Amino acid sequence: MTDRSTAHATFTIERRLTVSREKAFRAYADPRSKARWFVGPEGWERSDHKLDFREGGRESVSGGPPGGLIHYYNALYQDIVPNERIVLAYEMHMDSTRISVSLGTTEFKSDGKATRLVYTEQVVFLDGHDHVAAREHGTRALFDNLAALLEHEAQAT
Amino acid sequence: MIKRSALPATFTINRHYPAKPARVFAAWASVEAKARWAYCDEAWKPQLHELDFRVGGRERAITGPAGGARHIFEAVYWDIVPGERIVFSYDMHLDARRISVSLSTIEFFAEAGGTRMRFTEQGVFLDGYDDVAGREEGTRIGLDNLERVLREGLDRGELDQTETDRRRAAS
Repeated sequence: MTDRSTAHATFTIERRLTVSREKAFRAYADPRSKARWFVGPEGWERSDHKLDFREGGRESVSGGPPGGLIHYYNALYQDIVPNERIVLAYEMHMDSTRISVSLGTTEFKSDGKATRLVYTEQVVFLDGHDHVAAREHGTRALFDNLAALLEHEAQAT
Repeated sequence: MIKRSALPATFTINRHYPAKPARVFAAWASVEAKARWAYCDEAWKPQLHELDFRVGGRERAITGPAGGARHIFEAVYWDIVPGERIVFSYDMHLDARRISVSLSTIEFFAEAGGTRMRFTEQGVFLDGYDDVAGREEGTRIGLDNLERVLREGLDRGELDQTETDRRRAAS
């Protein structure tokens, strides 16, 4: 029998992106673009990334280290304001165990020609799996990917 | 043009109910049981209440004062552990405007004389509709109603074994 417990936490990550907020938003809204930066660590295997970017739409992807636990991400888009805001709820599974449910709010704010991205995650970790430091660390790595991708695209044009 | 904002806020409410966890849990698990306590105001007649209580299932309720703004609640259930835990996300609309998106966790713990229930809401309040205190107050009213409904059940003889034991010990 599983010993049930919960741990609630909130963390916020801010990033300055060197592109307009229209371009930053497009990196979330366009499935091909999102699939380029919304990826796990180097060397992980992954499934196809599925994204239906509209209110009520779903996103899912799974992956993990070769031979290791499968990390499964399953999201529901709750609120979309083009170029301004995205609110989604998502769950994470490790193999068949649900380890967390989160509310993720991304705000896109104009900062001259650049964009200030503010991401707030409100999360409940379930039954002692995972913890906020690891989640925040993993999320920061995604924003590193996003910033690098947008930088690369800006230089290519 | 709407001035956009998003205010995250969290609140927790602890309650003791004089009924076993299975009965308190059941008050959340069907539309018939939930309709007895879940609307903030008894004068607010629901125009609609649908509940598909399973992981991935949805709930929709439309209530509000007669002639006033419609309060539209739409939820998705993410995690259900019978008798122990419910996690759902929901959004609230006032008529056509989305005013909040929330993640709610409800936990049921057996304790002497019944159940301790912990309700945690992690919400983001949108576009100036940032009345977090009002949301907490509305939630407390619903949980007060739940206590009344559970006590009415006890008075009608729907006694739990824990309550029977307590009364026997007290007499």
